[in-house]
Amino acid sequence: MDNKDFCLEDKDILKLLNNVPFGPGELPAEEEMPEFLRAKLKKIIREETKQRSYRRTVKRGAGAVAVLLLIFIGIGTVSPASARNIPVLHSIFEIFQGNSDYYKGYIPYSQLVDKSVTDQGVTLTINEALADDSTLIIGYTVKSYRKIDASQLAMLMSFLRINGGLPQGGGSSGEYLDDKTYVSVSHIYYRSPSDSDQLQIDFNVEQIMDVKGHWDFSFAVSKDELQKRTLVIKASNKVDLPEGMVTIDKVVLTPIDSTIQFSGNYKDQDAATKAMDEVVYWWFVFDDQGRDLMSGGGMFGGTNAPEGKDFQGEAKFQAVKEIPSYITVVPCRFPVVSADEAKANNPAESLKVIDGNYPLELPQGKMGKLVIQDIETADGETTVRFTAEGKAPYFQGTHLYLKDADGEYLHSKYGIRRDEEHPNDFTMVFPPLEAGKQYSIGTSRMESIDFMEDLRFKIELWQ
Amino acid sequence: MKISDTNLVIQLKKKNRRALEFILEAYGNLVYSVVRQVLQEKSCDPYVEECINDVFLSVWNNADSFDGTKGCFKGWLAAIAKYKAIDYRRKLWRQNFLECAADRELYDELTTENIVIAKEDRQELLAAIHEMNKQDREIFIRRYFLCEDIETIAGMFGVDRNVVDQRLSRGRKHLKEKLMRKGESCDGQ
Repeated sequence: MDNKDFCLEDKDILKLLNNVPFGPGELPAEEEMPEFLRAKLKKIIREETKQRSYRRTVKRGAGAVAVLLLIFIGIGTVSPASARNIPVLHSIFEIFQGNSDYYKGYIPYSQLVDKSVTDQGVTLTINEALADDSTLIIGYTVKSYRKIDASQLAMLMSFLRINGGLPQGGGSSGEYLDDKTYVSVSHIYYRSPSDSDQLQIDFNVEQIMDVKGHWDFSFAVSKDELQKRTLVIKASNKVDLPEGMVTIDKVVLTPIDSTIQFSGNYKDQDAATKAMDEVVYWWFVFDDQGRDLMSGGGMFGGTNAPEGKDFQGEAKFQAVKEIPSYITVVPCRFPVVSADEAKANNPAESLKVIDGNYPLELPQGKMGKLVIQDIETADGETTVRFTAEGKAPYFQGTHLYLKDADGEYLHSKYGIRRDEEHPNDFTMVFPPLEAGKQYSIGTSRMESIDFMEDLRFKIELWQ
Repeated sequence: MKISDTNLVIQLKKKNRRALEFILEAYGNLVYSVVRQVLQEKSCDPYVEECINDVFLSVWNNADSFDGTKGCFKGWLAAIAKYKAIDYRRKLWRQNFLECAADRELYDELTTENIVIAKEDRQELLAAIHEMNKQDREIFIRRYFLCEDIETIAGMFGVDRNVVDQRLSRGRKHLKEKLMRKGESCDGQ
């Protein structure tokens, strides 16, 4: 949450903060502000207050990372399901097999790390890892003396260094094995000038949830196996996008993911940098059969941009089993927060009571619709079978949800599964719906998505 | 004029630059410590300076928001520093790891009640928050503006976490009711 979600201005928030009397017990032990910082602030204050009006003083320099396209891995965090025993596994990625087929491709390339450190009653185990030229994937387990709140584990990867450098971004998904054990897979995107086949990973964790301690790891991950199976296709498309002129440099296909690498020049860097606070950019990728492929994230920024270019970046999407003759990209953007939806008079969601009559249509605005074909409860779980019709069926399908009579969300047990034979057909599995209780099924109306079809472009892969 | 704790707020509201310089000298370490406490990882280092700068300029531009009847200036400043640092942390994560699970959890809590607030509702929202009883209001602000976890809030008030959950739920329902009532009356006009 932030004040954008509440639509409050700075002055409102500052007024509200009068209601939070910070007592001495809440204040940290005072640290001395470094002298250079104090002097710098003094100078800034002097200059700023001359104008007696607020304006931001610290602007991102041309060389700073301006991440403008950044998408979270499309699998999401699996919510706490019922506790279950840790199965006998050959690979941690097997735990996620029920989640989707996404992880299947990792297993042959996974390298055992199996290092554990315990401090303050919390054990962090790095189980496995694998890497290609731009992505490091780490499977890890956290075991705690008390209940784990997975939401507090999101910061863990900020302690990671790859060949001494910071990761560029990434995402995580995970699953509770019980209240005190959580397994997770993190995808970390990186750039490293090193040509070595080995990635040196230094992971010096200083805090897990709110527990401070030291969990230090140092290990190497080989890129060799995946590199052998990596296909690099050079491209040279020039694309005129609202924020800049973009050149598609190459498409890299590996057994674990696919990457479009690009570089370009801003039309108006200040405007583009400002826009990143408000808008998320998303590239929808379609294969030559018109199927939308699952997005795996991406980013672009100015750091290490090639000579003559303002930025370089990459957009990731799922690994492909067979190389399509071409892919089509449709750029899209949507607001970071959904307050805009509230401004519109249309309801932000399509919600219908589950009454056993199917098919059940759930409109998704301009994007299309979901058609619920069947909802069945058996063997301790409820399976929703549905079809997604519209511009980006996979993406649309990920926005299905269930609510109980109180409006509480029921979280999907696993991610969405696509029927490979019928790519618009999907299933989602939820905890069992109780007989006699009322539930609703819904989806977002996606009113705020700007699906820029007129900007679509094609990248030839068979050359 | 010499600035001291006694005339600080008055001079700040009069836009006397020396008042802000006094805050930097007298409370700079406090602001630095609070911000560092939230942005403590090495990866946050480049943002600490920007954040502290933002705290001071925010105080300068919104000095009128301080209400001396509710508490001392030092406590207010510390709360602002914490709020700004959390905001920076969130932005940092939005840039590096778009989905911050803690954010999502808070967002889910509010969307549970379908509390999605339009800009036009700003005044109604503020009024609704002010209508909450003192303790509920503080819990609400600590949770949703300062990102404090429920256990910590419960410890602070010496109550069970269920009590905090109930208060938050009550607060959300109160907001929903107030904002919906406003929507209904507008529709009816």
